[in-house]
Amino acid sequence: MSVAEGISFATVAELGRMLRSGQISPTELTEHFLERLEQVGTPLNAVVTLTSELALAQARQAEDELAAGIDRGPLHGIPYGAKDLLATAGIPTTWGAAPLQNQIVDRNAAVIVRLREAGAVLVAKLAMVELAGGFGYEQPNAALTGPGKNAWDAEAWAGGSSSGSGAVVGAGAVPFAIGTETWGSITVPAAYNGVSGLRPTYGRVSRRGAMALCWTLDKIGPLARTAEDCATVLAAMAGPDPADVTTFAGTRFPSSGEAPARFRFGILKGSVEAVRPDVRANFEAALGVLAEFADLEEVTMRTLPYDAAASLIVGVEAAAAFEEFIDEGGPLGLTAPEDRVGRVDGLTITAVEYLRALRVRRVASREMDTLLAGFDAIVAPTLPTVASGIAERFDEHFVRDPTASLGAIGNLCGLPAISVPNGFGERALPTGLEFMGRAFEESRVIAAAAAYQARTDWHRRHPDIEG
Amino acid sequence: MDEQAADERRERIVDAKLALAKARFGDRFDQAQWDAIRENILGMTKCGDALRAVPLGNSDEPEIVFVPYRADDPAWGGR
Repeated sequence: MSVAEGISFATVAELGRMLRSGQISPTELTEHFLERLEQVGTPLNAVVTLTSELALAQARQAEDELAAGIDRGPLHGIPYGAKDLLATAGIPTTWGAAPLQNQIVDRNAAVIVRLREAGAVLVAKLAMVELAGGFGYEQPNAALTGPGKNAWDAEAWAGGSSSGSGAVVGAGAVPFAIGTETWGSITVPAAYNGVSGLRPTYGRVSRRGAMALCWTLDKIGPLARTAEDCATVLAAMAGPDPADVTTFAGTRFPSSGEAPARFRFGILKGSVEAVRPDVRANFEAALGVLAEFADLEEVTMRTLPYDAAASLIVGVEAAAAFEEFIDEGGPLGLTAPEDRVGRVDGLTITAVEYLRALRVRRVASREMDTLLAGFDAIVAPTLPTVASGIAERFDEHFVRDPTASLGAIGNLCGLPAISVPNGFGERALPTGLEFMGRAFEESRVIAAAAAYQARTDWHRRHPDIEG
Repeated sequence: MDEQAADERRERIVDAKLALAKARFGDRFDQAQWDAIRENILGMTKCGDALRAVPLGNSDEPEIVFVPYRADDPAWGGR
């Protein structure tokens, strides 16, 4: 392994040790990843803006501080990229949408501020599906920067909506990236690009300064090489923020501490029947590994219209959040033709229909909490298939069986989940394993995923991308 | 209500909602786009039907909590 390869695909923890041993400086590390982003990130359509000047200034400060004995912690001097819906003062924040490509929000999002306080170095604003995919895109070419290409195969999609965040971590162009998830936008690109992606509990991380797609479903979380790195980044970002009142619920449920001596996982009955054979084979192999440190028990969930509730809530809230944009004809400038008519449907949903979705959500949340109280996590394949082709329509590729993924129920109920790589399937593309836990039990799902990664090396595999 | 009657009712509701959208954006879209919007409205209407099939009682509240505002409540942070 070359020195450059050793840096490109190192974990945050490993890079921190290199920085503190003097093996590399924050400035050298930042220059390395800026070059890497240009050489491998941009060709993947994963980069909106390289923040070179800012990054080098932040790196020099990190370097000076370390030399002076000031250590801000594990992210000190570590470069990262942020999904381009997180506001950054003085730098365009495009929300991935052509009509907003010159938008500059004159403030920093809360997570940008907190990562800066932790010493992290912002090297890029990363590509995303336009308006976080909330306008109903049906194929990958739905972004200002073009279709997001997969780190493992440029002919495959990177997933969405945090496409760039998944691709650049997968391609070794940043050690970690920040994504957001309303419904699958962290776990999907994590699984497709063979990296670890954490969706925190709704309310764990402040959304101040982030584009709102759906006020009651939006979450912000990290994508990184390992579950341990995701925990490190989450610790820097999480916590109460007076500007986002949803963050105060989490203060009643701080980290649950040490992992149990032996885990207990629920396996959703029927979850493997609905997935493709390659995904199923990898999941069943993963169950064999999990059985080494956990008791596994088949579980069933009450049948409820989880997908319908989540769809209707997103439909209404996105229509409301973008009502002025729609009224002004903004969607007509979007890249995907189907997005140009998006969310007009949401404007026709009645208030009673929306409230009914929220009433069903309450029932679902209680059912899930009762089920999850008996387990450290529910485990399932993150997605029923590997990534679709870069020009393929989703309805030609995806399995639409709602039992084939935890995405709808997990997001509807605001539950934390982590996706980690668990092998390769069709077209040599990565597959993902998802651990979903009880609300505010991020530390438990992270510990479970870390225990899996301690026994496997899928998270150590990476594509051979020159740069 | 039998399946056919339910489908017919749903189609009437979709057409009414489409009329609402046309009243708001009448000259913006071509026919192909209106057809796509109708499909989207149909999809959302089916979601509504699926949700109505879940038995709920009068006291089953929506999953929202209104908190009366006080500037000195730490949870509001003085906003």
